[in-house]
Parts: sequence; structure tokens; C-alpha cells
Amino acid sequence: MAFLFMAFTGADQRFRMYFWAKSIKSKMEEIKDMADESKKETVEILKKMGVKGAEELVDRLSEFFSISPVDIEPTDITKRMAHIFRTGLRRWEKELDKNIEGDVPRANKHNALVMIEITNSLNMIYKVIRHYLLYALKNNNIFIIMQLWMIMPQITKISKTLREALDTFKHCRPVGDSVGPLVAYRLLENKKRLWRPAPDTVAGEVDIEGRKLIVVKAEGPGATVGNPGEAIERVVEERRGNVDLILTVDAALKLEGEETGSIAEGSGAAIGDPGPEKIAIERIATKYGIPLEAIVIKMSNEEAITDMTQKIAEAADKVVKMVIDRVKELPKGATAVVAGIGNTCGVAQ
Amino acid sequence: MERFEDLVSLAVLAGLVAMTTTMMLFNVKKKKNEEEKKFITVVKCPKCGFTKTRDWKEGDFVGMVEGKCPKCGSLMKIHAIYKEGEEEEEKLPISI
Repeated sequence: MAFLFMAFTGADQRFRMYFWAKSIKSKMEEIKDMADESKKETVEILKKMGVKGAEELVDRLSEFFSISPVDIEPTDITKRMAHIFRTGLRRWEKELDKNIEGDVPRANKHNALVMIEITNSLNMIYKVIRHYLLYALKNNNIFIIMQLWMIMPQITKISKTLREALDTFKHCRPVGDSVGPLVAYRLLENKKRLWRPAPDTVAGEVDIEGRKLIVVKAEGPGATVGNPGEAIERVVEERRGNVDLILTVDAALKLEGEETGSIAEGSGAAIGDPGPEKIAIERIATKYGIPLEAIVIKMSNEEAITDMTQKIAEAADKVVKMVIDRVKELPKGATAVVAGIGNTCGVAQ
Repeated sequence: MERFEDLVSLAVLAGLVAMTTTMMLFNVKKKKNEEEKKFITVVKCPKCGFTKTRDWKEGDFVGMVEGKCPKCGSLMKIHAIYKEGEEEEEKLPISI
């Protein structure tokens, strides 16, 4: 009887919608707690650094957005994109500098900026879910609720990873994505000289049995990815294209079933930026006909932004050996550029 | 007969409560394990390769100079910092 009543009145759907909405709400509140905790910890760190009006600053920057460049006219889109990203980054840095009292190391500023970025992401995730839940409830749209309910476990997982990443960046420990800079650091241990070819990016020269190896990485140990594309472009231009190999080393997302820390070789630029840095490497390699090769260390999305695992740290040693072997294949007197791509949090040079 | 049915219902209910409690306790234990993460700092001599490990401490970063090598007397540097243990794989309904 009850079954017939439900089937003919649509009450079963109402019940289902109610339970799904309740489940979404409870997970959404979990994300809100994470966003609040993240904000609280970021404010604490900023206060320790001597930032005036830390709470207000985090509130303002957690609402910050970037507008993608026009893509129906693709001319110079990567230049415009780079300009927009740098404008945003410079604005964040200025806001921080403006409110800081005293001298604070650049590394600490970078860590604080990444923490604000994580707070911004968690805040955005919470607001988007709340938007869709409210919209669906107002319009009695069971399909939106169903879809939201289905993807909530993934969204919660991403949020938990971001929350965990905040602790890693707060203590400036290397993350999985730092494996590229870690390889670069190990290659740079016997460097002859070190210089800065682009903002927040360093390059060092190493001799490998008569071959010149120029290693590029973001400037650590603060949390930054630097500008490796611009740096490689300058290094190659300074040598008027007299470079025999460009090799990028980066963390790559593994497919489900693949083992963390497994290594793969390929061609092209291994760099996960939205475009500007990658295209700079591709353009300079193409301009002078320089072979562009890549080595990647595989890991999951969660492993890439949280504390580096032992398997990933051990893979770095294997990659260092692979890079050295590859450079030794070049004739004596040759020059190779190797870039350790990724966030250099907790890795110096 | 009615008393027997009551007993069965009670037993089922008790079973469910026990199962839920066990699951909750298991989750608490898991969360506790997650909180007890250990971080390791590997210190290495760049000259002779002598390596030692210790617990991570605030302020450590890869490349930081840390004391002299007990073997050759060169300056030792932090070689790696990592999280101890491996991520547990999620259990799947079927094995692949």
C-alpha cells in the first residue's frame, strides 16, 4: 500500500532528494570546517610573520579570482595568460609586503602565499557546492542533487588533500611535486657557479666528464615553482642556441594501477603549467632544433601536493643517474640544459 | 512464538549496534594512525657518501648544512626529507 502511494505520488523521489541533500550538506559542512581551519592557520602564520590586519588580508585574498584570456582569438594567448597570472601573483606579493612589518625571508613569504592559495581553493570549493545545492533545492531539481551527491566523495577527497597540503607547506617540507627540484638540487651539488636567469628561478653549471650541464630549478627552499620556461629561454638565447639537449624532469600523474615512484622517459616538455612556461620551452627548442626530452616520476594527485613519500625520494636518485647517463651520451664539449620542474618547497639549491 | 520473534529482533538489533560500534572504533583507530605521521630527514656527506637518518625537525630543508661527517670531516647536508610508510591502497570490491 505504502509502495503504491509512493509510486503514484512521487513521494519516494522526494524522500530520496531529501536524503541526498542531507548527505551533501553534511559533506559540505565538513569542507567548510576545513576551509575555516585553513584560514585560521594561515592567519596565525601571517601574524607570526608580523603581518598587520592578517585576518582581513586572508579574507580578501580568499575571494581573489583570475579571468582567463579570450580564447576565440588565440593570437598571443599564452603571453596574455602569463601576463594575467603574473599580475595576480605580483598583486598578492604587494598586498603581503604592504602589510608586513620588518624583514621577512622570501621563502617564508612564498610559503604564506601558498597557504593563502589553499585557503582560497577550499573556500571556492565550499561556495560552488553550496551554490549548486541551493540552486537545486530552490528549483526542486533532483538531477542536479543526484549528480552532486555522486561526485561529493571525490570533492571531499580533494578537499582533505588540500587541507593536508596546508600542513606540509606550513612546515616547508618537500611535497611529491618537489621531486623535479630535488633531482636538480642533487645535480647541482658540485656546481661551479649559480645565477638567476628569471625571477624566483636559479641556474647552475656542472661539468660532467667534459660536457657542460646547466641545471635550472625554482629558487628554494620557499614554496615556488619559479619561471622555468623563461629561464630556459634565456639560458639558450645567451648561448645563441648552442645547446645540444633540453631535458625536463617533473612529477607526472600516475594512472590508477601504476606504481608510485615509477619512472618513464619521453619527448616534449614535462611541465604542468597552464601554458606560458611550457610553450616557452617548446618554442626555444624548436627555434634552434634542440632535442627536447623528458623524464617523469609518477605519483597520484594527492601524493603530488602532500608530503613526499620514501618511494618518490628514492626515485630521485635513480633519475639523477639517468640524467647523468643521458648527458654522457652527448659528445665531449656538448652543452645540455636540465630543468627540475615543480614546487621547490623545502628544497634549496 | 511472539516472545521468540522479539528475541530474534533484539538479537538483530544488538548485532547491528555491535557492528556499527566496531566500525566507528575502527575509523577512530585509522584516524589516529593518520595523525601519527613520522617524517624522516636523511643527512648525507657529499664527499664520502656517509648517510644517517634522524627524525625531521622544524626548519629542516634539503641542502641545509648539518655538522661534519664522522668519517671524512666534510660538511654534511640534508639529502632528503620524506614521510615514513606508504599510503594505504583503498580496498576495492574486486581485486584487479
